[in-house]
Formats: sequence, C-alpha cells, structure tokens
Amino acid sequence: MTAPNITTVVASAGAGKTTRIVGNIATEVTSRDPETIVATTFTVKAADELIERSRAKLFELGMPDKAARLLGARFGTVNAICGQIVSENAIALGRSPRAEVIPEGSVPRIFAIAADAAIERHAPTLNSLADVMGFFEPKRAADAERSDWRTTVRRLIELARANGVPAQDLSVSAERSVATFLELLPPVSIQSSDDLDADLRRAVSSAVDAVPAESSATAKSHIALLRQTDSSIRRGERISWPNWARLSKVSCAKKDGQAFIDALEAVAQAAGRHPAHPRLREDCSQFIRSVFACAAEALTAFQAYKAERGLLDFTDQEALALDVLHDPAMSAGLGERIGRLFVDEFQDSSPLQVAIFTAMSGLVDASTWVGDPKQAIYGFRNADSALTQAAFAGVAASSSEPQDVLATSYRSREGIINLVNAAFEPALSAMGLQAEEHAFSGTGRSEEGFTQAPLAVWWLEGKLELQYAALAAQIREMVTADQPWEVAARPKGVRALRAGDIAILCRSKADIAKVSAALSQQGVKAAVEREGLAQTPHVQLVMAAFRWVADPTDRLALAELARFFAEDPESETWLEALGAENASEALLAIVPISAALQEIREGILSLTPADLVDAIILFPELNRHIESWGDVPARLDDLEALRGFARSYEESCAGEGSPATPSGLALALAAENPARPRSLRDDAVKVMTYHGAKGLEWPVVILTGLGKEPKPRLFEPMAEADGDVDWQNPLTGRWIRYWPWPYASQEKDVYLDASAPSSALGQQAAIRSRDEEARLLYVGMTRARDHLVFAPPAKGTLHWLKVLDGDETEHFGLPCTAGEEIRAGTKSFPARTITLVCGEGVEAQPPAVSFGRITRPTGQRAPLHRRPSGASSGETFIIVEKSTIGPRLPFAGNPDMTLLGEAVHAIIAADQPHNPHDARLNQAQAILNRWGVHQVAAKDVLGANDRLFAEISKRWPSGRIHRETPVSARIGDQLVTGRIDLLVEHGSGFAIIDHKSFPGSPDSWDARAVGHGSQLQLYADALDKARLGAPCELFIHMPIVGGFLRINRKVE
Amino acid sequence: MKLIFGLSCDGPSFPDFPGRSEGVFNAAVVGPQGLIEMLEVQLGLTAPRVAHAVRVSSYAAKLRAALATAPDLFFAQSLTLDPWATAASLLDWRDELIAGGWSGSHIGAARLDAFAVAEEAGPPLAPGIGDRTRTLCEAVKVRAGLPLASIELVEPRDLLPPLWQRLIDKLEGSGVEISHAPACATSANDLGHVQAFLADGSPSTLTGDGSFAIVHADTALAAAEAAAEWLSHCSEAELHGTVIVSADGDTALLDRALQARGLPALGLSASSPWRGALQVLPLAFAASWGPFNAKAMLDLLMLPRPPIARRAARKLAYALSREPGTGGPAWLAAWGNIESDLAERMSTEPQEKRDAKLAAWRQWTSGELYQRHEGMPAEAAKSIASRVAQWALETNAGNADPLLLTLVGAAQALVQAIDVLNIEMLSPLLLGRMTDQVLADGAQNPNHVATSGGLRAVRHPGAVWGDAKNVLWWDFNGPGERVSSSPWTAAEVAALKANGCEIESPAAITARIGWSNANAVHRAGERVILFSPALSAGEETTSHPLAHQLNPLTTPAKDIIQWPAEQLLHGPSHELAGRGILREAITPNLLPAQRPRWSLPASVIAKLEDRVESATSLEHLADCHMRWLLLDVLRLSGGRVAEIPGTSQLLGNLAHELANRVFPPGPVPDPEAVFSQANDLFDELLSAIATPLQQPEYAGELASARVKVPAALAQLARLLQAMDVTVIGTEIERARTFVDGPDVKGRIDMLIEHPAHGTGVIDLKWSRSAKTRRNELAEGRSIQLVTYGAIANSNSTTPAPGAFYMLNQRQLIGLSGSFLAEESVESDHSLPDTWSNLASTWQAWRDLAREGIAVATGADGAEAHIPADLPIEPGTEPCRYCELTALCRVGVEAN
Ligand code: SF4
Repeated sequence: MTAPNITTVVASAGAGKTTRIVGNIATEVTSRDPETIVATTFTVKAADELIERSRAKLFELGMPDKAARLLGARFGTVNAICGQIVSENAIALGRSPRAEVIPEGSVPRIFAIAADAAIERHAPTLNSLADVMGFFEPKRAADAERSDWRTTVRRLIELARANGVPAQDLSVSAERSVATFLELLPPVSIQSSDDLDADLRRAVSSAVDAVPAESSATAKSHIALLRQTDSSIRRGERISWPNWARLSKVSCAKKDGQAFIDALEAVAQAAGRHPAHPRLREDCSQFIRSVFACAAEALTAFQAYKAERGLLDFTDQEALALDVLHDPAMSAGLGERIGRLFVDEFQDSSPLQVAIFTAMSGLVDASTWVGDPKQAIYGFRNADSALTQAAFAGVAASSSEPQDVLATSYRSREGIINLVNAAFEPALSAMGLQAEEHAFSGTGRSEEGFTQAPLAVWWLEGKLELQYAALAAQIREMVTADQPWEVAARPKGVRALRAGDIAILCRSKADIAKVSAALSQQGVKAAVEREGLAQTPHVQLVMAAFRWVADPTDRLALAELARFFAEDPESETWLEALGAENASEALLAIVPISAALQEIREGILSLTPADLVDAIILFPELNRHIESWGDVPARLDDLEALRGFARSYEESCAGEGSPATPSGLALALAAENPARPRSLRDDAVKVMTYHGAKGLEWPVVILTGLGKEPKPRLFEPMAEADGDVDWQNPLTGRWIRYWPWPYASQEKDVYLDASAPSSALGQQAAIRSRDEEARLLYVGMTRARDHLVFAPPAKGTLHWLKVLDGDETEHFGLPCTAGEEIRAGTKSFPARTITLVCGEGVEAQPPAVSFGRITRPTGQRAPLHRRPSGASSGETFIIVEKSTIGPRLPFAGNPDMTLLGEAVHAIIAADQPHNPHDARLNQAQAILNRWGVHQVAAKDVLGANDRLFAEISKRWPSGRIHRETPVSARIGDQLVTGRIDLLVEHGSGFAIIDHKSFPGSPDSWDARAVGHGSQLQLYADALDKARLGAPCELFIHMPIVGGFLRINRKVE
Repeated sequence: MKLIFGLSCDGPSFPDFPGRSEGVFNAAVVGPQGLIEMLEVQLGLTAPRVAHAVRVSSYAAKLRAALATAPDLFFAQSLTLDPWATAASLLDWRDELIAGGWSGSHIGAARLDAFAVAEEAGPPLAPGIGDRTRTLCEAVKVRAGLPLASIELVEPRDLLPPLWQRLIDKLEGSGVEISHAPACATSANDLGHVQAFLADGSPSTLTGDGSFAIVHADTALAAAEAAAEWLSHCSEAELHGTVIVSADGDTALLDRALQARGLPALGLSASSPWRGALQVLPLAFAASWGPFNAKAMLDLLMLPRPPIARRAARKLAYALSREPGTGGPAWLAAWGNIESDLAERMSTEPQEKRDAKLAAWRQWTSGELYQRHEGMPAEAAKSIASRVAQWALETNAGNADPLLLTLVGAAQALVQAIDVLNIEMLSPLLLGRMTDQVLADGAQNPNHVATSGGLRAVRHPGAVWGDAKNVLWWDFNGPGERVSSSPWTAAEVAALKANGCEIESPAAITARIGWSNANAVHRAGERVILFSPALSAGEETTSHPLAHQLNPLTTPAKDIIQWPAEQLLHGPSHELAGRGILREAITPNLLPAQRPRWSLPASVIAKLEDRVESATSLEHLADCHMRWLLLDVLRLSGGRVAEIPGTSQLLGNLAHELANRVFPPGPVPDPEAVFSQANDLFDELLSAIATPLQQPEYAGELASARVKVPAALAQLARLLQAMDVTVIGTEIERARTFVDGPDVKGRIDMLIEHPAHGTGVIDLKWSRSAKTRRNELAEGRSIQLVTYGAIANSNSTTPAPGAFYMLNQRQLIGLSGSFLAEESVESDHSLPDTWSNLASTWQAWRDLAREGIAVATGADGAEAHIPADLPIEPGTEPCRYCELTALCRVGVEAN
C-alpha cells in the first residue's frame, strides 16, 4: 500500500479556509465524479455553508451538471458522514439496517434500561461506597452537579469508546487508576483501620460529653456535627469520609472552655489521620474497580441493546465507521464511492476521529486536513489536541511540500491581529507551535474611516452583579449615544454601531444569565439562550389553553387563562369567579376564548400533541393577545421553540416506543423545562459562551470572565495516553484514568487536594488545561472584526490572562488607567481604557407598539373538493325508466359482496366484446382469480356485459363508449374530479352509466338507484362544464341482477 | 383518453386538470400510481390492495425460508437480530432490482443471487409497483387499440427513471402519442432573469421589481404570518392561479394563518401515528408486557376516547396515579366503585350483560402479561390487535370516522402480517416494529382539508405542470430532495447491466431533482416568492439546493430581493413583492402582574366557615395565605392530568405500606421478624402500588431500596423496643375540634404508647437528606408533626410528642428532651409552643381572610401586608414548590 496522500493546511482565524476548500472542490470536480467528494465539518451549519458555496461556485463557473451531481457528495459533520457509512454497511456489519440515531437527550434513559442488569449487580457495593464518600449529601448550591456513580459509569463508557478501549480492557485502566490513585495518598498508617475508627469514636464521644451548656456561635455547627456523628456511631454506622474531613477541622471559641477546646483538638487529631487510613485506600480502590467493572459490563450490554434495535449514538457511528474502514471488503466498497477527502476543523478531532480520517485517507486519492491547532478547544468533548497537533506535524514532516499556511486575516483589523501575534507567542511556543506558522502574516482589512484604535479595556467595579450592570449600561450608551464606535460598512467605509454588531463572551451559563438580565434591565435586547421557556408568559398562556383543551377538569389552567385575558394586569375577576357558586362556569364566562377552545377540543382526536400546540399558538384571539404584550419577535422565538419541543417530544416517544399524548406533552414540558432559544434576531446583542462563539465573528467582541482560574480536571474520568503520541495509530496505548473524590464538598486541606495536582499525572493535566485555556482565549480574541474589548473585574487576579505567560512570567498586562497601553512582551498597544461603575438603575421602557394583521371577517369556506362518491344534496331523484336486460347471475355459495362487486366491475371495465371469446374468458377468469372470487362464473359475467352492450348499441347505435373515464371540472369555487364507469358520447349528448353490483330483488332496485342520484348528477354537472349545454342522461346498471334504470332529478 | 403524466403528479398538482375550459372529460393528470391504476383497469389487471406491512411480512418469511436452505446468505445476522427492519430494507432493494429489470434468477454475484434464492423460497409476495409496471409493459405489448390516445410528459423524457421510460416506450409502440408539456413564457423582469439564469446560467443583475423575492424569517411562525399577509392582500381573483409549493407536504401551520384571515385553506396534512385515535394500538401492546407498565396503562386510560367507558377509565386512572399498580387498595376500590356504578346505571339489564361488560373492560386493564425476554405468542398478539380493531369498529358505529377506520385497517393489517410472518413467539422488538409499520403512514388529519377558492398547493416542485401566475414556495429550506446512496457495488451494477437490469445512476437522479426544483420557478408567469424561516419547529434550518443554485444571482442582490418577515411587526404599511401590505397597530395590553394583596369576594369569605383543616392545609397556610386559600379553601386543582409519583415518593409510599403491615397494634414485633416480613412483602407491595419502580431504568434505586427499606423498618422496631413502647396503630384517622383553633382531621403514620410518657406520634419520611426535617424542628415549623401530635389524643391539652423516622437515614429525629428522639435537635420551640403558635397563626390568617384580604406571601411587597407578630412567619421561599406561580405571576420570566 502506498502512503496516503495527505496535505495539511494550517488556517488561522478568519483566514478564509472555506474559500480555500470551495476553490479546491471546484478544481476537483473537473477531474473526478463530484459524488466521490467527502467533506467533513464541525457543525451542520458549517457543512451547509460549505455545500452552498461550493455548488454556487460551480453554477457560477458554468458547470450546472457538476453542481447538480455535487448534491450526491458527502458533505456533513463527522457524525453525519460516519452515520451514512454505517447505514450503507449495516447489513454487512450484521446489524439492524434501521440505523436510528438516539437523540442526545434520550441517551441516559436508554443507557439506564440497557445497562440495568449491570447496574443492579454493582449497585449494592457502589451505593454503600458512594454513601461513605458522601455522594448522597445534599447539594450545596442549586447549580452544583450531583455526584452519581451512574454518571461516572456512563462517562467511562463514553471515553472508552472515543479512545478505542474495548470493554475487556477496562480492568487494566481500573488497575492503573488504583495504582496511580494510591500514590497520591500518604504512606498507610501503621495503626489498623479499626484502631483509627475507635480513636475517633472515643474522641467524638468525649467531645459530646464535654459540650458546654452555653456554646459559642463558632461552636454551633461543629457541635451539631459531633452529635450527629455520635448517634450514627451508636447506630453502628460508618463515619463518612467527608465527615472525617469535617471532624478534622472542628473548632470553637475560647469562651467554650478549655475542656471543650481540648476535646475538639483530640477529635481533630484523630480525624486528621484520614489520609493514611487503610480503609480509605480500600474504599477508593474498591470503588474504582467496581465502577470500571460495572462500566465494562454496562458497555457490553449497552452495545448489544443498541445493535439489536439498530440504535446508534454519536460514538457508535464513529466506532462502527472505523470497523467498516478496517474491513477489507467493506472498505473496498466504500473506496469505490469516495475519491477525495476534506477535513475541516481537524484540530477538534477525538482519537477515534483521527483514526477514521487516517483510514479514510488510505482509501481516497488525496486528502486535505484543514485546521488550526491554536483553536482546539473541545478537550472536554473528547478532542485530543496533542494528537491532532502531532498529526499536523507528522504529515508536514512526511511531505516534501512546505506546510500550507493561511495566515492572512480577512476578518480582524490590523491592531487586533498584531496584539494577538504578540500576546500568544509564549503560550503557543509552550505548546510547541512555531510563530512562523502560527502568527498572522497580515490582514486584508482596511483602516479606512476608522477614527479609533481597535482595542479597549473596561475595568468593571464591584460585585459580579454590579460589574455586569455597569457593562450593560456601557453597552446601552454605545448603541444609543453618538459614540465613536464605528464599524465597517458594506461594501466599504464605516457606519455607526448597532446592537446586533456586539457579542459578549462569557465563561459559564450562569454568567450568560447574569449578563442578559443586566442587559434587559437596561432595555437592551439580548439574543441569548437561557433557562425558563416554560416560565415565559406567552408559553404559559399557550400551555394553559393547551392543558384546558386536553383536560376540561383542569380548573387551574382555566384560572390562569382568566388572569391572562383580564384587561387590568391586577384584575381580581378570576378570584371572584373562583369563589362563585359554580366556579367553572364563572371562569368560562370570563375567558373570552373558552368557547373557541371547546371547539378545538372537539377535534382533538384527529390532532397530534404537536398539532394541538400549533392550533393554539395560531388561534387568532390568543395570538393577538400575545402580540398585544409587545416585543413580539422574542415571543415568537420562544413559541417556535415550544413547537420544536412538541415535535421532539413526539420523536422521543417514537424512539422509546411509547405513545405521545397531550397530557404527556404537558408533563414533559414541566419536567424538562427547556431553555429559551438563542434568538437569531440581528437587532440584539449576542451573549454566549466562548465555546459557542467558535467559527463566528462580530464587529465588536467583549471578553468577560478574565478572572477565571484554569482548573485541571483531576477527579473525573480522563483519557490518558502512554509515551509519545503516534498519530498514525491514534488508539494505541490509551487508557482511562479515574480518581474518585471521597470527600464530597470538602475541597481544601484533605491532603488529596494538594498531592493530586503535584503528581506527575496531575502536572500533565495542569499543563493540558493551561494550554486549552490559552486556546480558548485565542478563539475569543480572534472573533473580533473591528473592536476587541477586555472587560476584566477591577479587583482580583486575572488568572485567565496568566495562561498567556506560557513558560515565561508577566508576559501580558492590561493598562490600569487611560493613557497606558496593553503590554505583550516587549510590545505595547494603544487601548481605550476606562473604569465602569454601576450607576443608578434605569427606568423600564414601555414596549414599542406592534403591528398585526388587520382584522377581517372570516367566513366559513366549503371544502374545495366535491367528491362524487360522497356527494349528497337536498335534491331528490326519481326513476324514469326501469328495464330488465338479462337474468340474475347464478352464484355458487356465499360470496363476499364487496370483493365480488370489485371483480365484476373490473371485468366489465376491461372486457372488449369484439375480442375472441377465449381471450375474453381468460381475462375474466384471471380477474376473478386475483380477487379470490369463485362464486360466480366468468362466462356469466361476460354474458351480462354482452347484454349491456347490446342495450347500448340499441339505444345509441353510433355512440362512442368511454370506459372508466376521468372527468374533472370547477363548479363555482369547488372542484369535482372522478371517474365515470361508462360514458356514452352520442350525437345529442351523453349517457352516464354506473355499475352497481347489487343483488337485491327488483322491488328494491328503485331505492338503491335513486340513492346514487346525486353522485351521478355531479358527474353530469362536470360534463356540462366540459361541453356546455350537452344533455346528459343518467343510468344505473345492475349486472348481477340484469337491471337497467334511468334516473332523473325530480323537478319540484 | 388523454393523459398528462408527471412523476410527482400523484398527489395534488397544478393546474387542476388539463385544458383551458372549466371542465374536461376523458383526460386527466396522473402520476406513476395513477397511470398504473388507469392502465390496470383498462387492461383487466386489477387486484386487491395489500398493506405494505403484509408485503414486508411475506418477504421476511421468504428470507427466513431462504436462510433455511442457505444459512450463510449475507443478511443472516441482521435478519436474526431485527427480522422486520432487515426484511423491510431488503424488500426495498429487491423492488429496486425489479424496477431495473432484474429477472429474479441467479447471475453469479453473491448478494444478488441471495435475492434470487429468496424469490423462490417461502410464501408468494404481493407485487410492488415495479412488478406491476413490468406486468403492464408486457400486457401493453400484446394489446392493440388501447383506449389511450396520448400522453403529455411533464418531465423531459430522458429524465424519467428507466422503468418509466420503458413503459412510455411500450405505450408509444402500441400507438399512444407521446409529447412533452410546453414550456411557459418568460418576461424581461427579475423573474425572467432568474428563469434565464436557471435555464442556461446567463448572468444578470436583479433590480428588485417584486417579481422575485425571498422572505427570510427567524421563525416559521413569522414566515407563515408573512405568507398569509401577502396572500390576504390579493383579491379573490388574484388567488386563482396562485400555487404554494410545500415540499414537506404539511401546510397545517400556514393554513391556520390563512384561516385567521378568511383565506382558503390549502389542506395538506402530514401523516402521523400520534393522532389521538391511533394511540390505542401501541398502548394496548405496551400495557401487555411485564412488568406491568403503569405509565402505558395510564396513558391508555387517559386517552380522549379510552377503550372502556370514560367514567370507569377515569376512576382507574385516578387509582393508578395514586398507587401505580394492580392489586393495591386504590385499584381494588376503583373496580368496586365501577361495579356498583355499573349496577346502578344498568339496573334494568340482566346481570350477565353487566358481567360481560366488566369482563370486556378487564381485558384491557388486567389481561395476561408477557415477559419481554420470552416474547408474546402470535395468537395473543393477534387477539390484542383484533380487540383493538373490534373496539374501533364498534366505536365508529357507522360514522365512517376516517381515523377510526385507519385504526381498524392498521389493526387488521397487523393481524394479517402476523399470520403471514408465521413465527410463534414475537419479540417486543418485532412487535413494536410491526405496529410502527402498520401505523407508519398513520393518518392525516381528516378535519384538515382544502377549502374552496382559487388558492392551490402542491407537495412537490415537479407537480406544477402548467402556467401559474404566482408561485409561493413555503418552507424553502434544505435538505430538499437528495439522492440516497445505492446499495450496489460497481461490480454488482455491471453484472446487473450485463443481465439486462439497469440501476439508475446518482447523476441521473440529481439531474431530475435539479430539474424539478427549477421547474417550479419556470412555471411562474408573474411572480415567485420563497419563504425561508431560519428556525422551523425549533430547529435551525439549512439552505435549499435551489438556493445554492440561485446564490450567484441572489447574493449580490441581497438587499433588494430579501425581505425580513419580522419587519411586518414594526409599521403600518409595507411593500412586498408587488403588494402594499397594511397592518394595524395593536392596542397594547399589560401582562398580568404579581400583587401581594388581594381582596376576597364575599362568596370566598363564606367558604371560610365550617372548614376542616388537615396537616397539609395547615402547612400551606403557614407558608402562604394565598396558597391555602386557593388550594384548600377554593379547592383549585390542576385537573386529572395524572402524573405517576416520582421515585422517592413511590419508595415512601411503599415503605409506609410496609410499615402498616409489619407493625400491627400491640407490642413492637421482633426486629428480625420485621426485617424478614418486610423483605417478603416487598415484591408483593411493589407490584400492587409501586410498579414503575420495576421498570428497568430504576434498577439502581430499587436495588438500594430493597436493602434499605426492610433494614430501616427493622431498625425502627429495634428503637421502639428499646424505648419500651407499644404500637397503638398505623395509618390512624383522627379528628379534633380545638377551641380558638381549627377543626382538624388527619391520618397519622404511626401512634405509639409509652408506659410513662404516654402517646407519641411517628411520621415516616423517605428522602435524600434529613436536613429539611431537622431545620423544621429547630425552627419550630414542623407543622405536620405537631398537627398529628395535637389530634393524637382527643382530650389532652398539649400535643403528643412526635418524631420523624427518616427511613433512608434510619434516624428517628425529634426535639431534644422528647422520649422519642433518638437523634435530637436543639430548638427554642417546644412542640406545645409550636402548636399554640400554629393555632394563633391560623387564627390571624383566617381573620385576615374574613376581613376580605388575601396575601400572596411570595409576591414582591408582601411584607407590608403580613399581620404583625405572626408567630409562624411565612417560609422564606414559599413559591419554590408551589404549583400556583403561573397564576400569581411570581418566579416567572418577566417577559
Ligand atoms: S405562588 Fe407563591 S405567592 Fe402564589 S400562592 Fe404559591 S406560594 Fe403563594
């Protein structure tokens, strides 16, 4: 096998890599089948942009057929492309061909179901260990995550799969985790576990006895702890490790008396020996081993469960795609279909993904891997920057061509790229990235029209809330007042800043919420994803109506509707209604839409839950009421999200094989309380995380959270790799490390807090996290087009900026006062520096008036289609002729009349009386056979048809016969379409003949015949439109009984 | 007969019918399905229709039979794993081969020959559209003088798939005249430029004359508003000749916006298996698997039209939501209730009739349960499906309700498919797949139909076959139609070709797709408007392939042809694609606001008299006056939308019930006996009142409860023994009237008697942590405990001492000094203090209410209205767990 032909392209931020890939694709299609191109990107949006631009380019270049064929190429996220490969090979892989991707939200539930036996088996051990490790202690903060060993098991499984560690090898990882964990602890105590326990028990018991009658405030909580511990000891329970840690920190005030002070000292000393406690080692080792063992079993069970059902999660798509790539037969098949590979955002690949790209590169003629090692920020999602960086280097080294570098920014102004170049030099070189490849070489942006330097520093004073309030006030000032914040205009020059030009980047969801709250207090619109969709008034109004439609006994919903529809925001009418003799009726009376909602309820059985949501959202009066609250676009965004939730609820029901019901939807919404969507409005300030900003750009970018301290991830599962990274075999030497944290919320002074970070693995982790933080900051700073604003807190260390030091010190500094400059190494950069202090609150502004549809009367419209078969009207029909044209057909046995009718009708429709009798008989018999009708003889049916034809030629000797002929017409505003069984077109008009396989006796014919009158009349009316004024007679032919009747509209 | 044939013309197409007059006969527009049916009728080739599920079932049987002779066929493993999905996709492959002209015999390629094996094995397979078309090709050859004069093709002939090309060739050979639908005229405006660009790539600059516009909207809701507004500014006459392309075939959203303006509805409705009436089928199966699935049963009972009488269903649902299981007291009581109810209602009918009715109902709720790992016997599955069909038929009772008829059809198809499949035990996966399949097309909304007027809609851009004035493309977003990748390798395609089977190339398919996308634009005479929402049903959308193609023209002209839909919200008049759109200013309304103080109408005040409080109502009262008034005095409730209690509540219920059983009145039983008895009873009670815990995803919780609950009860026995008390009873009802205090009624978890200290109350709790209860005691707010204490003895002046027994922690927590407190909590508030505080708090609030004032204590500014010196102040966060926040407007998003 020849070495794969891979080219790497290092594309710095905003350096036009999409343009580059589009150009390459345009060249490629001239020499190869467009369908064989594969292009992977990081997001659906990016893939969409890439295919749109590529196809547009081909159309522009006059290659419409190539452009059309490019639709058949593989453009998508890594997962989408792997998913496609897997589903193409599902049967070859021996899996269910139904390759359904599990929605991210459903994974935990499906895992819980699949892994139930494994979890049940390990639950007793793990629950009791988790108990002593304080996993079940109450949460300290509302947003703190609960430790749940099942989450750890799931994470271990995810990592194992992303790193290609098979289930049977997890025990190796377990042993290595145990060994490295035990190294973090001090030498084990020479005292036995029981002795150490007994010491502490004694000390606690004496301390409880020594509790002073009047205790100090300091002592209060410690005394409570002692008492609790004492009674749990008496119950024979073990003292949990967090409580050991807490007991090692007990103290009191002088006034509690020396005896108590001494007693506490003894407790602290006895408890303080917990790091060396033999049982701590046992507990933790056993916990690690059990968690891994459970993970191994659960992994096997989870995979089997999914394989059987054809379910896939994202990792499965990749792992199975790799199986395909490694299988000679399957990969050969794939090799036929792909010829050229483009990988975008290569730096964010996981080891598994690198393995996929490497294997795929072996199948194609050429590969291009585009990425930027400086922007690798998805370590927490299994990306491995060391590996991707090694791959870049390795490919470059093996190629004779110089590494391809896109280093001109088409995004940022010169001042920004100069700052970035200077600021990141040490950090990048600490990562092993050389300036010559990674510094910007220049910018394509012009300075024309700008009066201000692109950099600014805003020091924010006060507590966090006040900082953000000050920031928000400043932004309001920027967009309302006439401040010099010009931004680039299209096609050239500058224009004034608008709110939609600004992005505020935050470190956490909590910060986003605070910033957006501060902005909305200032009346600045913010486009931000935040919590609480179900708590917005418009969603609550819609859901109150929804609930009441779904369940008429829901009086609470009705009361809510009454409140929403009251004119006065503080109206008490709802309360009065609730107190009334018949509360439900009184409530109905004050809810103006109750009757209309009742009408919706009538049709609820034909609606799906999501349909019902739509019906209510668009219900005119309710809709208008929401519009009357102003700020309509934001409300529409939320309502659209509600529609999306309803649909995903239905989908998740489908995935779980459970039914979807309105009550189920209402409960799911309450239980999940989805987020309010990030608005796509372009008149709002964007607030988002640094990670979320990846791939985007704005004229003004404001960086917050600069005080955040990088924390290595030590006590959660992590993938580790042995020795030097081998990018060509990215999955070798990988193992999963998991160190448990046995002290719950006790984070300081427990020994482990100091020993772990200083261990070898701990230090590696620290470097990893420092580098990742540096890259995240790089991503943040390079989002800015025209202005980059640092918004640090005025007090405290700017820990995050310290990552810029790399292996140096004091490399980067922000100016403290106006006039100073930003300093990076030996260079300095002018910046507008101010300190922002939160001022007085601002008046809430009245919402702007919205405009809505002009109210018009809405009459009822009739259905568009008038169906002849369903026609019924007030008209009555009479029999004007009645004759018997033949005998009753003999039946053998008891036929199913519906089938018989169909078969007889089919014979008459197809029979050609002038054909040889044999042929006719064969055809008729074949029809009877297909319909499974044996009770009537083919020849008898043909006889009936012969008689019909005799009748026709007698009546209309030169008539043209049309069998089963379609007819359509517009009658008034309605449409008629249908098929006439037999139409005779004769000199003076038409005869419509309808076959009815009616077996009744002659006295029942009349009633049956006139029953079809309006249907035939409708055909006649349609014919009248086709040929104006032509007379038309209506006949019913009853082949089974030989009846032939003419009917007519009764003229009153 | 003259036909117009287009690949996408099976559904609605535009114009309505051929010709320029108001009516036509002996002529029609048909799609593939329509053409085949037409020819089959004429040629005598009709046959009964077979549900797709039955075809899949037959094919699964054929594949199985094939494997019996040749066990190594390439699909062996997949078929064993997931027979249904495997058969369904292999059937698709097989049908593609047939369409290509495959003869069904061996051609020396392994995978293809496996299909040949299947073709000959097992039961016969009903013909698919490919088989039928090929039969027609043969039949046409030998038939002279077809009653078909001509066919006008909508698609260019060379773009038709091979199968259709062949049929058209054959028809032409037997004398049918084949022609091509004429192109439409173009003009020299933007639309003309766009059409020219699409036709041959000739570049031009758009001017924004309104003949071509793209409406961008953030949301589908806003896009619908814009489309409806544009249409509502057309006269009725202008609507004629206007066609909406709705590629996903669902205009429900748009139609609601149209109807709000009195415009005609388009009436395209998506099929969905989730329509209320169809749910009975999957639910009936879900409720037949063990362990008993309370949630599925509840869903079945809560359907808008449940399979048993609604009154009975609601009773059972209520029981199930309290005690999710069968055999528990609530369930049995509900059945008793139903029986007596029925006896009353059908008092004149004979007993047998009532019994039959009850038996029929019980079939739905108490049928046999089958274990998932064993599967369900085919007969049992058929009888469930038949029961559903039967019920739907009876319920429909001649009304021809289309949904119920769909359900009947689906259930019958399921029975038939099970028969054809011929497997004895059906796995849950297989049955689930089969049910999905028979409901797959689901039903469209029968009430959602097009209404009269000039407006039309089509489901596919290729379905516009003649001149239209205005073409509006609704939901103009990606992915659009795409090629799915072919399963065949190059070698297989070559082998097939050598044997006369032609598999269409992806290039040919993409060319056809490109043609039909452009077609919709070419057919417009006056105007094209594309409506493109950025979010549709909450999902970010991608761009349509036609947008890619238009990009070189539209990107430079962005500012003049793109129109943001949200603009409509901001002013009274707008110019959009040749229409002046007028809007009216909406009179602003203020949002309902929170307020701390409300006045009560006399009718509410009247309800304050003769009240009996409970521990819960007093707890509500202590937290929030308003909550008590609304929930307890006015009995405002959230309806019967039942929710099965969560895990910890179920575990609590289970533990309570266990305690009830293992602590009979009398001396405290031996801890060991308590332990083993609780252990033994655990599973029985689990399936009687807490079945959701048996569902696999709760394995972890259940495993720990199995260990903890019996141990906790044994520990309680130990503690009680050590205290030397006897049990008076568990779950004891007590009521008492207090002078200057409320009338109270309640049910006490456990009452005990101590020789010296007298009566004591024990309240059992199951929760993650004991913290809340400790705090309650410390702060003198343990309302429940003190209430039970107060009513424990009808004659004592002070409440009986009480303690919480925390089952999860095995701690008996009480105030220090109490004989019950194994674990004591220090507090400045004794229980008697707390009780008298509670009584006076109650009094203060009641008096305030009598004066006609209600205070929502969680609302801003409530402090000013709370009575001074209230002994028990409202909670610090009263609204946190309150279900009334939407009503009070507290803790909700401001905007
Ligand atoms: S929401 Fe708050 S204020 Fe309203 S009743 Fe509930 S607790 Fe009281």
